[in-house]
Amino acid sequence: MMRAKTQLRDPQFLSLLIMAFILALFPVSRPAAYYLDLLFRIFMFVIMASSFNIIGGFAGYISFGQVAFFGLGAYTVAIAIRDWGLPVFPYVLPLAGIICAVIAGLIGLVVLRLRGAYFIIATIGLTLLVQTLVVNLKEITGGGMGISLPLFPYPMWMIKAIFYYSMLVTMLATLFVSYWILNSRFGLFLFSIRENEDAAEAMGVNTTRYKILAWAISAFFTGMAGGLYAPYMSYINAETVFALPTTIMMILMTVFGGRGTLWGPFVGALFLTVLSDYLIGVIMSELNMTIYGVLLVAVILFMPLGIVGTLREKIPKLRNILK
Amino acid sequence: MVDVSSVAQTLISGIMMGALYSLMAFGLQIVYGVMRIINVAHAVLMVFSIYLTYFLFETYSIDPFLSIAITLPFMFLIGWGIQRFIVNRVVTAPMVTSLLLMFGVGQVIESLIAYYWTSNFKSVTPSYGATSILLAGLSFPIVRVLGFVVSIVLLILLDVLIVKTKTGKAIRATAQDREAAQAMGIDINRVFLISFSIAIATVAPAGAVTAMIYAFYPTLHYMFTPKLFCICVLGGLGSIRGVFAGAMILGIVEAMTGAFLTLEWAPVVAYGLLITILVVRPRGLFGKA
Amino acid sequence: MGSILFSNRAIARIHAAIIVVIIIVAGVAGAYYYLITTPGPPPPPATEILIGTSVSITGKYADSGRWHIEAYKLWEKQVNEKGGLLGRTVRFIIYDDKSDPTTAVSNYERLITVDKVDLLVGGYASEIVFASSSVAEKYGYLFVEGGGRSVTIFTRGYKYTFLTMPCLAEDDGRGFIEFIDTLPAAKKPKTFAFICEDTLYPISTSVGAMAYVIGGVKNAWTILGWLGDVSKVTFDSIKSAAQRVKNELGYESPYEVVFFEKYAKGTTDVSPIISKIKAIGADVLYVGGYLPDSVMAVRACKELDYNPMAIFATVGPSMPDFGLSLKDDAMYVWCGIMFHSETSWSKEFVESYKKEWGRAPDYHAGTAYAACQVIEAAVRGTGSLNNTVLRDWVASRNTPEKAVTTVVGPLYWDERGVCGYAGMVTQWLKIPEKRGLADYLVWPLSVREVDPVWPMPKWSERS
Repeated sequence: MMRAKTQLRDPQFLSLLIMAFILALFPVSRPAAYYLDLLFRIFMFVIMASSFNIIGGFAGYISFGQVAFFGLGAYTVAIAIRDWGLPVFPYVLPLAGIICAVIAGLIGLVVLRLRGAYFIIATIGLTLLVQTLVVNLKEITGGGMGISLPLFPYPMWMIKAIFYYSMLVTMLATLFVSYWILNSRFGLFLFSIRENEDAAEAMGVNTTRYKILAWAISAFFTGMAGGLYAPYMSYINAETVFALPTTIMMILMTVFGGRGTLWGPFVGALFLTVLSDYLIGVIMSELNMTIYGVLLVAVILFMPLGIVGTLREKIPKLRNILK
Repeated sequence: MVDVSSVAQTLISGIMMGALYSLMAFGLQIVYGVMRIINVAHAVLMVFSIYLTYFLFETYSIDPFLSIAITLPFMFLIGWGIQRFIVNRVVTAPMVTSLLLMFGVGQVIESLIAYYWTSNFKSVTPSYGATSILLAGLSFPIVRVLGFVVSIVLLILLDVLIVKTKTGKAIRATAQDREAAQAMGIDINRVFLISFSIAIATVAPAGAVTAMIYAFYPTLHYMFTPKLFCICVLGGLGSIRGVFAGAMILGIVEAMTGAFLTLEWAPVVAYGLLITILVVRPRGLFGKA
Repeated sequence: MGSILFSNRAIARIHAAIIVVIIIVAGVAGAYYYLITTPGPPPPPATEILIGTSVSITGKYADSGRWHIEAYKLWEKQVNEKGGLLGRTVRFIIYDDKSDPTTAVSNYERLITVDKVDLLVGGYASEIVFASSSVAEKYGYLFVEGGGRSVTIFTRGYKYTFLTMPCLAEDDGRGFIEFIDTLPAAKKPKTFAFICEDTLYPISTSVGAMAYVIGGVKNAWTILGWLGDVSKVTFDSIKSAAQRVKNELGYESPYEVVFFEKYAKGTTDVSPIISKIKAIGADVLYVGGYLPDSVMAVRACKELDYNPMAIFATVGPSMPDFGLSLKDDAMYVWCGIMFHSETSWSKEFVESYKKEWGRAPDYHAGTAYAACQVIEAAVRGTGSLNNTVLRDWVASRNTPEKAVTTVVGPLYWDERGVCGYAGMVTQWLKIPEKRGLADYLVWPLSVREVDPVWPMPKWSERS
């Protein structure tokens, strides 16, 4: 563990703090509500991408199943609000995260025994399985109809503020936890699993325990993101919250930004979300997706380490911040 | 509510569906087996060949089955191009890189299809579309039966190619151990090129049959991709025969679930099966450990 | 980590100082900025009226999105040719929501708070409309939409959402049942089988139709009230409801629901279900879903040689793509619709649409255009762009006499924002002397083009 003093001297930690400040103060400048919505979505994707990064970037297990936890978190909170009313929200949110973490741990015991392509495919199947189960348990979940939630009875600015700050705090928590992992022995174990799992096992690292822990942490934050998403949209259904394209987007943002780094998922989520919104406003035809795809292909071909990863390679001076 | 004839009919439906799945999945398996790349754009390319079939049918009135003679070499060339200029760069990269790369490629192709042909639903209905042969009180839809025949033919062709020809030997060697194959003087780049091209060529018959069965649209591929992955795993990653077996199993399981439970639960059964196989016997039915 | 000039302690202090300075500067700057961004004088009157909408240009709803855009652009052009609204030019701002509710919500936020549009108009697909209407409601914008018609959208107590689809999902089957009631006893069907995709709209339409089957036009909505949440309705709950109708309402329906199953979204083959239904031998098959579902079901019926008296499918057969996809196999399929090119109130629109876009509009375009017409009527009727004033005007159009004329017929609304029922029924027929292979209006009698064919000729007997 690191001592407080050493942390303050770490440029990476500082940069996190500075960014936290800027974002916390941003709403004070009274921007148009759309920008708060944009940031809300960016934060959400940062959480998901960073969560993915923990299991996929640090530990090297490419999980297509993160969106399953997003959906589970969303449904948990939605059901709670539907059955017990809006005031329940602040308590249910962390609970949703914990439930997702527990489920991830249990599933992980089984699924994390697989490697490589098998693991990837298993997580794809898992997501679809969870989605179908949620839809079929219609007594609880409203089936294919989804769940409609009441609007918060507060003035608009307050609603926006609540969601903005909740998501911001959750995102900061995810990033700080990622930072902590990066600098701890736990992180080292995860890296060793990614580099050569068998060797790690041979050296006495309890890979199962750490993998499951990584996955549970990942699920916790993703679940919370989903839990915030549900009341924000005031309507969710299985197809939207378990969508496979979302999980691909998470992975994409992480790789785009730089897998295995701290800032990678953030940069990736920020860049891709803003780009996507920009293209929507500018090019009003199917071609906006073409541009998106071409950009993706170009970055992956020519910057496989992601933006942050490539920067780190090319500009050694930034190494300290961009770990 | 369940009698022998409807069980038999359901079995037939399942087998027919399985045959179509196998047509779609052969190429996916080849690419993974030889290049260890999960080609998530595979189903998108199949959708592309669906639109090609549509184009040939609507503009030149070419029968979909006959049009395979045109679309197959065309898709071979497309596969050649994609491999040569894009995929080749990531053959040694980590899995996540190639995965996302193919996703990007898929996005580009899908959006171009939508741009050029619009997202309106289309379908191909030749004169014999949806007609069936009735045998012993059971219906055998002609299009699907022909699809079944095509899948068997393709299976045999691929099998013969892999097992009996020199190229096939090179492919097998590369699939088994890249470095050793290289050491033995095999040009693995050429092997990759040929394998990928063949894999993409196989979507041509899949597309032709699918075009006649479904009302299609540019994002149709999402419906099939998870199932195709399922099949490749079931059959054993890397095995062509496994694809056929896995596809049959999935098709039959889905149909039987539909008959005995409801089609609401079919995905649960299918994916539950997938995960069970992965955990219990990851190498599937025909795969090597 | 220390450099040559400074000791480690000094560095730590420098860093602490930097943080303190940042906090102070940020605090001061923030306070200053906050004070100077208090709202200034109102903006000068614009020469344009901006209408914003989020439409699915890409993604799974892209085909309907295109109809919407074409309708909006046509209306925009026509309104401006007439001199605009309130003396100002009308301009549409259209964003792509990629068929994703999250994007749709953010698009509306953007339109409202960044582009500062004066008016909104709604999109397509119940799930997207669900989420989008919440944004409009939160900001107090009139939200007239011609794209989402599951009744649950309207039972949330929202004040700003109004529908321009004069046939709720649950009422799709109503006209069909009305027609069947008029058949001679010898030809009447007795048993009905229902299949639907397991998502919002298909479930709503199927459950509604089942209510009409077991309760008749008079009792259908009472039954829907009993059934409650349509997603939880099962074949058994329908059977209980039928029993209850007999006991409590004294109504004995001549029809019976003998089969009801949902299939998962993404199901690639419905043959197993059709096999089951064929084994039961139901007289009528009702397919709740969209175009791909109807095509899949009709083909499965043909392949399995299942010959009910009628196949009724939602949405699909109301689109020209249905006939283009199935060709002659589309014949005799029934559909409940709310817009048709052969009605008196739509003919002009159809002509101008064909001239502008080269193809006849389908109902997506019709209901979208109708939404624009309602907004136009409200603006002209009140002379105002204040959304609450507009909303009140629309809400006041609550009887047939006060209805707004649109291309989907005269529209008036109840307190939920749902417009009065005006559904029609079509059957696909091939009549060379008329429009060839097309969907012909057969019900109600006031709009009938040709007499329908009942029962459906067997597959083997068709040429």
